[in-house]
Amino acid sequence: MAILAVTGTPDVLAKIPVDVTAPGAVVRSTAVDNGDGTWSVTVHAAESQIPAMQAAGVTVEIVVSDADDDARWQVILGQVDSGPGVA
Amino acid sequence: MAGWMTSAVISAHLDQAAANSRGVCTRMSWAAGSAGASAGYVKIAKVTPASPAQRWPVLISGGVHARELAPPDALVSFVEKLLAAYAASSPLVYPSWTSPVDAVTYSSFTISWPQVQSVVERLDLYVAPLVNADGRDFVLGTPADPADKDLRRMWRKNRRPPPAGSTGDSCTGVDINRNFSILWDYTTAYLPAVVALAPDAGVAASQDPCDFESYAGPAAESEPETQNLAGLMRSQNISFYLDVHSYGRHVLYPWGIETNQSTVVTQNFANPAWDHKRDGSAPAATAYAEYIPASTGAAMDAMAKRMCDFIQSKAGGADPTARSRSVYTSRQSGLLYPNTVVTGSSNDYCFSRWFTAASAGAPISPVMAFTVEAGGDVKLGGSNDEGGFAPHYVNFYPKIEREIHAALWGFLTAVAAVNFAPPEAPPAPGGSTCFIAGAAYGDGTHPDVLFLRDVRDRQLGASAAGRAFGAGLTAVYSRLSPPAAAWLTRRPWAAAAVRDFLLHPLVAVLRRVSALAEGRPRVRSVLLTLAFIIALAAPVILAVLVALLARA
Repeated sequence: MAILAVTGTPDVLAKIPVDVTAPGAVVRSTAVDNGDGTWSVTVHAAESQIPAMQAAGVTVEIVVSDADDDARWQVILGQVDSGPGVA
Repeated sequence: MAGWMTSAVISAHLDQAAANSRGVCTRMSWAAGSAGASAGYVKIAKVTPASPAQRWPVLISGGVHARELAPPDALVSFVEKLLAAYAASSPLVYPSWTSPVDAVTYSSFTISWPQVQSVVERLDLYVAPLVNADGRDFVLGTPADPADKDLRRMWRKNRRPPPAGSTGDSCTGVDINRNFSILWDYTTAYLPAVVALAPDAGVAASQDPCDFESYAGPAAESEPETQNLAGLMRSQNISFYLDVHSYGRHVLYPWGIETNQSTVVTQNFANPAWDHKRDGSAPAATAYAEYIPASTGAAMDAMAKRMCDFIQSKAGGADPTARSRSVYTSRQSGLLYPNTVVTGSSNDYCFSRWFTAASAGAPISPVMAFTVEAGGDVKLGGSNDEGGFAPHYVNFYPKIEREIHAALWGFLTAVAAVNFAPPEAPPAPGGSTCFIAGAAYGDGTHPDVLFLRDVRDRQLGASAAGRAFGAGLTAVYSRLSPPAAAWLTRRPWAAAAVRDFLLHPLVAVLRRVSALAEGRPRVRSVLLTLAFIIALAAPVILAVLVALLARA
């Protein structure tokens, strides 16, 4: 799942995510006022959702691609401590 | 192996922390989630002869949102480090840490023994590292169908089974942080035009069980995880609450439900006259804003800034690059996202109890609540990309852990430095902040500033004479102090002189007087009034004496 920098006016950002039932995240705590009437926010979404976002009026920049995020997660899942407990 | 802990491992760590603590740490359990997992919580408190008779109840929580991996692990390690330092009667030393990615070194920092001691012996500290245990285990589990990997990695809600008739993986679960009883029914609370924008804007909550992020649940406090946390807030009358999330590098404070204002008490969440009229946080929405006492808003902002300062100065340390990567900002939660407010959050609910309890005729001690959003913003790239919700455990997590711990130390040591305040109603408009003291100390949460505020807002008010004097003092002070504070802020030498030669002696005298009459509020109020009058009159008396001597 890609990590995206999404930019637009508050009105168009209000349409993101386009599909509220799809896995992903709009990370509201990353919103930044660009001072020109637009805001930027970090969004986790599949790259396949980018055209729908762009159609809603936002600009999208891929910060971490689907493939790179998947590779990150392969490492994370190798760092899980599932027991048997503490020494 | 060391790594992201499942709920069972977190539970085992808490068991062991309590077992090794010689009674300082008590293990507590609470209800499991729908899928059966629960990590419970711990209470850390040691009563010694030096402990105050009444102690602030403080709650720290993490892991409300399943996918945010760092906060639960960091809270477990905080408990372990705190208890180890206390058991050894020693300072807590955080060694320096060098990033394996780019060799930047984050300095060692130390929490002094008196600070460690004050947290354990002056507070009733409750720590719940993993509120949403079911959700955490779902994220860290292996999907039966590889196609579900994104579903698990991005999971935020708990694991409540989907309602009958709802199909689809996203129809499971409730967002615990929209399920608390604070404007939970946002469709009634807000203007229809604001409600219509939910959940993406207007109100960031949803009544659709299949909303992947923000389903608020079938009723307020419908979820066992919510009941656990809210129940603890109620049973212990939690006064100071800190909820740790990720990410974005912020320290947030209420309100999240609206923009803040400090002049119209009737504009408040409990007033049904405003149902269907609350207008959210869009710039044009000026008809309604949520009441917050000015002094409380200023105190929470100061406390949030103190946490930011601790993060940068301690976790960041001396290296300029390291410090630049440890910049957190304090903000009101309702202003976080354009034109969007948040309902049903744990933070707002905890804070709201101060108001609802007073309205019900059973006031509680003052409440403050905060949220830390730990970790850098991925979209900014470079060193800000610390992995977002799922940081690399070796390359990034140690830095985030240090930041969370630094924030906790800034928070807890400030609370421990202030004497417990008995129940009282939130102040009405007209209260003011300690502008001059804040400017002189350069820190609105310095223990001396908090003490002076406590004397003015609470201790003086226990007698008629004290109330009358306090009202007069506040009237004069609120008029003179803002320009005086601004003047001092521009002249550090003058601020230091005021602090060292005026406020230090004044605070020392007032502390002595306050301690002399501990447990006798009315006597204390009268004595403090006399002490204040003498202190204020002293320069005049001195001038007259000097003039008389000069004449003689």
